[in-house]
Amino acid sequence: MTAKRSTGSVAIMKAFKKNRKQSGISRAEALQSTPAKTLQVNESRLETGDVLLSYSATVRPWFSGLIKRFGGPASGTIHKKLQLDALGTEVWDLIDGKRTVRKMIQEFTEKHQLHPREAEVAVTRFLRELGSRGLVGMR
Amino acid sequence: MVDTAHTPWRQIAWNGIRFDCPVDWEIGQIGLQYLMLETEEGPVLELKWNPVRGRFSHKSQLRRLAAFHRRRLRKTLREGPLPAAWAEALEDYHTTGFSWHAESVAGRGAIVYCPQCRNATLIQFFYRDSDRTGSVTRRMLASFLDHSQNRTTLWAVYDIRAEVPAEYKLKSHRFDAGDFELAFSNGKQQMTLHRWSPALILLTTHNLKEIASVRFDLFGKQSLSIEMVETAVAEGSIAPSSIGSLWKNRLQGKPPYRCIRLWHVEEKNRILCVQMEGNQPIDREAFNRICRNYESL
Repeated sequence: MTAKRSTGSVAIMKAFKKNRKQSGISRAEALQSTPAKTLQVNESRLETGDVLLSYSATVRPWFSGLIKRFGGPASGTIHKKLQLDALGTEVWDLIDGKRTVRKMIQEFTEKHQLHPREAEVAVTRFLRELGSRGLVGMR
Repeated sequence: MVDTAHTPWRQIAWNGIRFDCPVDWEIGQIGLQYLMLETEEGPVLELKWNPVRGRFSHKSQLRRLAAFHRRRLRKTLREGPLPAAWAEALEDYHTTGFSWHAESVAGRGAIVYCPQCRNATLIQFFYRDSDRTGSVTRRMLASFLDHSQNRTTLWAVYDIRAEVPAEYKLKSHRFDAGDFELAFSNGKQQMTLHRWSPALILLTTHNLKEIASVRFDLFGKQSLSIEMVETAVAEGSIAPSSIGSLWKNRLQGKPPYRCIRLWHVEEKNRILCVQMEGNQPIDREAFNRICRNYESL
């Protein structure tokens, strides 16, 4: 499952060599949370069926100055696009603001006959990536 | 740790050791000689093992264990007798029991030394709140084995299971989502097991031949061509055609002999692959046996 543009592979299964930083919530609590798409993101479908996400991102002040100097917008925000692959699109489509992360993993596991742990790592990594870009929020 | 007598069990086998455990105990961390199993609540079982050179001392092993713990926990670490059920389950081994406790979690385990294979293993269970010991720990310990009875080593983690000749030692492993890889060597030949999933997604854009070409970077290298040998099986091999090409490969640091087979396990939605390479001709019989004994669970 990848976001094709920008940072490359999203779904590295580091559970197997996980960096265990204290996140403040347990794994069980994290699986019980519900992801929801943010309103700032626009999605469109490509011919392949894959999703293309468009969103605005705030850039660091020094970078904003640089953009301005080269004739870019002075607002400090830039427009970004993120193309999801087939699996990324499937997970994106599962985000409806009602399904919990656990439920999403369960459906993803069943559909592709994945190992549950493998699906969990892939889905949660992907959600974390989307979260870090401000495309989804958790509640 | 809940007494999950009615939950299904499965076998885990990794780098010489094997044991049974409830299916909801998942591998959270894996190293060459290390396994940490966990549930959603946290760690439940930890195993570390190492071959022992020279004399084995339970006391020094326990001291080393204490050194790993944080200072606060170190004070609570106590050597003690094994519960009777554990002692019975581990009667073929030399054992020492230990326990420790913290605010929300406690640990109880055994240092297990096998006089036959001279392997020392630390096994510890983690307990939380109202958790209790029971038939689960006893059954796990009774199923524990730290050496093989025949000349093969069993590997059974996540959804893969393979029997590999014992002379092949694990050199590296990688468990990325959708891409597992175990690399072995016997000193003369390298053997790699791959597992890719979900197969149907991968096969929508490429067939097995193309997947092999992409994964093993075979583009433009005409020497090794992968062909479909059955509907869902692709295979390719290469051997030097002359002494000249054999030495040319050796001087270039390329293994002159190479054999790759990959197959689609339709009912599991996986692609499995075995690759062998080295400076000596590939033993086809051994290669076929490894392929036969490599499966997706």
